[in-house]
Amino acid sequence: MKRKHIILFFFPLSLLWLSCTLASSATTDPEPAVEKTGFIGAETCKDCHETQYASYAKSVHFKPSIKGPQSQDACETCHGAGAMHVEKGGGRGVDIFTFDKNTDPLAKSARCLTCHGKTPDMDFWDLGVHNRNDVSCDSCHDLHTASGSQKPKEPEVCFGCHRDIKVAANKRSHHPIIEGKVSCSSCHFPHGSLSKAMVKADDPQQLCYTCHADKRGPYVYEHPPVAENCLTCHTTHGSIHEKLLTEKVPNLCQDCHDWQRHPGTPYDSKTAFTGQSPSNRYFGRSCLNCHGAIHGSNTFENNALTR
Amino acid sequence: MKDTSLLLIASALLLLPIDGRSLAAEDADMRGAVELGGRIVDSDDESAKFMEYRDLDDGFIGNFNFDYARDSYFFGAEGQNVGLDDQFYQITGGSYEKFKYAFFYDEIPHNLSFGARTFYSGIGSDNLTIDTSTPASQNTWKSFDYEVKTKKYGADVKVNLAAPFYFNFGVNRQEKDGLKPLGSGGFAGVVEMPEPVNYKTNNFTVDGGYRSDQLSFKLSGWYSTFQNDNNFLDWQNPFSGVTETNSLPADNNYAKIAANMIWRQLPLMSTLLVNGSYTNLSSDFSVYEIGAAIPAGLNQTSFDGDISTTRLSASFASHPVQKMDTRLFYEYYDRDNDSTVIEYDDDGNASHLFDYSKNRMGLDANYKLPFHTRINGGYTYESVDRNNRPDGDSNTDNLVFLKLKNTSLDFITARIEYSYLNRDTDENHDLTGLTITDAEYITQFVQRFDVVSKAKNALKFAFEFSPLDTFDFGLAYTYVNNDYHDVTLGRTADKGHEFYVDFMWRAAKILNLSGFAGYEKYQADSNHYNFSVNQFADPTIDDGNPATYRWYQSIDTDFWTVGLSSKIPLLQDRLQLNLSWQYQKADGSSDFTTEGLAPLLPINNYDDYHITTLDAKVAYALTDAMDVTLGYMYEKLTYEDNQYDGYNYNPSLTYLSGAYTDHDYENNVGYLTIRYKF
Repeated sequence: MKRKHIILFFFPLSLLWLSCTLASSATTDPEPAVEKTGFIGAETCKDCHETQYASYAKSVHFKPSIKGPQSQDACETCHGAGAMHVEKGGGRGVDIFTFDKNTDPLAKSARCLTCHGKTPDMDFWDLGVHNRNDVSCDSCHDLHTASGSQKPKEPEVCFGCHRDIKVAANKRSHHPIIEGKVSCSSCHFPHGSLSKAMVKADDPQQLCYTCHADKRGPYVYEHPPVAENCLTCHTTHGSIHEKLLTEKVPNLCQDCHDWQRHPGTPYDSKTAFTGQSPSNRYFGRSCLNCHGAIHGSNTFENNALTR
Repeated sequence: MKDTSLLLIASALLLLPIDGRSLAAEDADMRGAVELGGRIVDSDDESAKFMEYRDLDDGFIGNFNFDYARDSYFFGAEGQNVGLDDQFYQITGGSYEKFKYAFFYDEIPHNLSFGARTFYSGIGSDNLTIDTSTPASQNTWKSFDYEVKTKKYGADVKVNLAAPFYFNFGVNRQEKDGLKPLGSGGFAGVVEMPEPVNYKTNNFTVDGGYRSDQLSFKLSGWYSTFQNDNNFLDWQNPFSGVTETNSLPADNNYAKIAANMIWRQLPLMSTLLVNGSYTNLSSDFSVYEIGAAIPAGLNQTSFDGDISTTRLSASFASHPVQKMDTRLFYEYYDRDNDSTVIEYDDDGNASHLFDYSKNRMGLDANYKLPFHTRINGGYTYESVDRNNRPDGDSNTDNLVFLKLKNTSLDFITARIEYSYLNRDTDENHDLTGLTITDAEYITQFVQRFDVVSKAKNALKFAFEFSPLDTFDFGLAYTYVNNDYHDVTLGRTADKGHEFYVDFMWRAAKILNLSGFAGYEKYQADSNHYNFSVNQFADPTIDDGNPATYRWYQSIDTDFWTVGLSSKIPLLQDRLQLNLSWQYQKADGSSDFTTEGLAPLLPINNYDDYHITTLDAKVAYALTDAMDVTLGYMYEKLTYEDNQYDGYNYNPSLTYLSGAYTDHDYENNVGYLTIRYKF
């Protein structure tokens, strides 16, 4: 590792230590007391909901040092005052707020956003596709176990709704999603974003260039569809075609390129290795046998993207 | 483990709670696990596809995780596939509501093709030479693997000490090393050769802002450098003996700054967001770095690549009435390419700098109808103006959509969505001075599917059934049809059907069974024209020459998949059996019709494949803290494709290296692990 990289690595480390020091000296102003009615306390809840209380007790929500349920009204912070619920002898949803699947998703998320709404990650929640499609916090997060834990983890939690993506991610050509090397949240921001499909970039190209920086150019000779949208030729999650292509080469190329000689030549099974007239425009990697610089070329004397 | 990862992890260990007493504090919660074991792989075929993103050789298995939390502080460490090519390590920690950090080190193999062959010397370098006078003698060729290994490591820190202000930063580095296939050549002959991959990408990100109930703003920056050890590849052409040069990805620098501001709690319960960003991408090099002969009539000896983008957007979301929410949005995007224009042959050839601008605006609304029904509709207008893209000089898109969702029955959720897009495109071909026998004359007849005028219809519906607390069932269907307008040459239409079902059944404590199935069909039709030098470049005219003719292609692809997965507790809390099975099949074909004299033969095996996967795992809890797992995995892939059948390394005027020929595999994997939890 070069010296400058070591410096860059330890720079944030130093700032972190500084942050720790500041954190230890930070003080919090006490919240003004507010008179509340109808609250019964967690011990009463625990009498009937022992299992739920036990899992809550293991969660980050239980930590009294954070501005979470335990430092407020415990169970009733999220479920609301329980006096009427107890008075009526309990029962699912009887005068108590529950996070059941039939509860209004917006209402469920609103409970969580009371505290979590102020975190920067939730800036775009109101404008995001998930919120607008009735996906609530508890659709993906387990509220009673460890901090923000998903149920289950990615990608399965996402596959639960996105069936087409699950199928695509298992195809012969795919990004390493099922291998755990790329997670859904590597590319998408599930809490909302301004971009299409809530990707973590302004557009698909800039997202792809995050990992594929070798493709971003600038090139002496560009391939305009590459510069405008990677998704003209590639699909994102998986494909039956090599390199996540949307169609097979040469068809994908010939859908756009017709010219004298080979771009307009038909390549049928006669042009395969085993055919009557094999053609290196068709067999093997087809067009890519010659046009290796398909994303762009930097030679000074070539505009056919072969060098 | 490599030095870099050791440094990373050792550094991060500094972040462990340094007060020894704190580890044993009363409020401390400490848990973790260590898993050790071994794996045996029985492989008939050494296939890169089987190992594409994973290391599944015989050997050691090691995983660990550790979580420590006190009332205000947390720390976690995780390691997966320790010592293997796909190892991953992560350390996270922080103080609740104050700061968080994460350090990671990840290795990702990408095995492309094993057992490739070449007559070249200098594999992995930027100079491939032929050290034999007879490259056609394949018994002298060298064997190598096409594989690219990626290492990613870095750190992210989020600081929120002075709430409502926050500050985040991150640094990471990605290194890619290996070989990938590169095709080059020309009419005199074609060569497939190993391209060296030695990339390094450094990323630095920083953002900070303010967040309150009414207002938030954020400033962010990203700086990225890409370095390639080999910007050009010299290779000796086996047909001419001459050393030629191919360009490889050039070093580049990328910078982005962005800002956004959000106002909430405006009248009508509205939220207004404005966002802006600017990016710049640069790269420069000289013709002298290439080493090849300088082209005649070259106008510049150096290239300064400079591409900037500007984006401005605004969005206004409201709840004007209780049952309704609305959204208005506008976006402007501009790509400005100020790179050097390269001309040679005294302006006979020139690079064409591509840039474009886009305006997009629209509105959509959600309204709650009676009977638990929600209706959502919207309209989007988009216009794009391009420079140096005469086939798509500009286009306007009009998109409308309508969605309905109903949950009137507790156990059913139904959704249906329809969208219609109409695209009108203007072309701007400069045909000045061209005659019908000039090849470029044909450009006016080529309509490309990514920009051409079209109508797109999409229909989706989905149902979720939950008739029992223990049983869920879902199905979804999607139909998409693109009808490209006024296409003389190019794709005329494509359509796809996708159908999926899945279920989950939790049979008390006896069985947890889930399954899914999918079917996808894709069809595309296209028109083409065969002509040669000095023949008519006009497919609408019959020139009486049998060598020029129109031909038509239809692509048809079917894909099926089905999977089952079960969890069976054989002994409650002691012995569990997990079984899963998955099968998928792809079947592609291509049919032709032609106006030429010679018939065109259909292609029947076109990316056809079958994959069968079986996983079985038995986990037995020896004690509360220790369990042992015995697992077995079977995977089989068979691939048939007309372009690879009868693969020949040295057909006429071609030298291939065997890239992507090792598709098939049938492998059995057995493993045994023991895990200790604390």
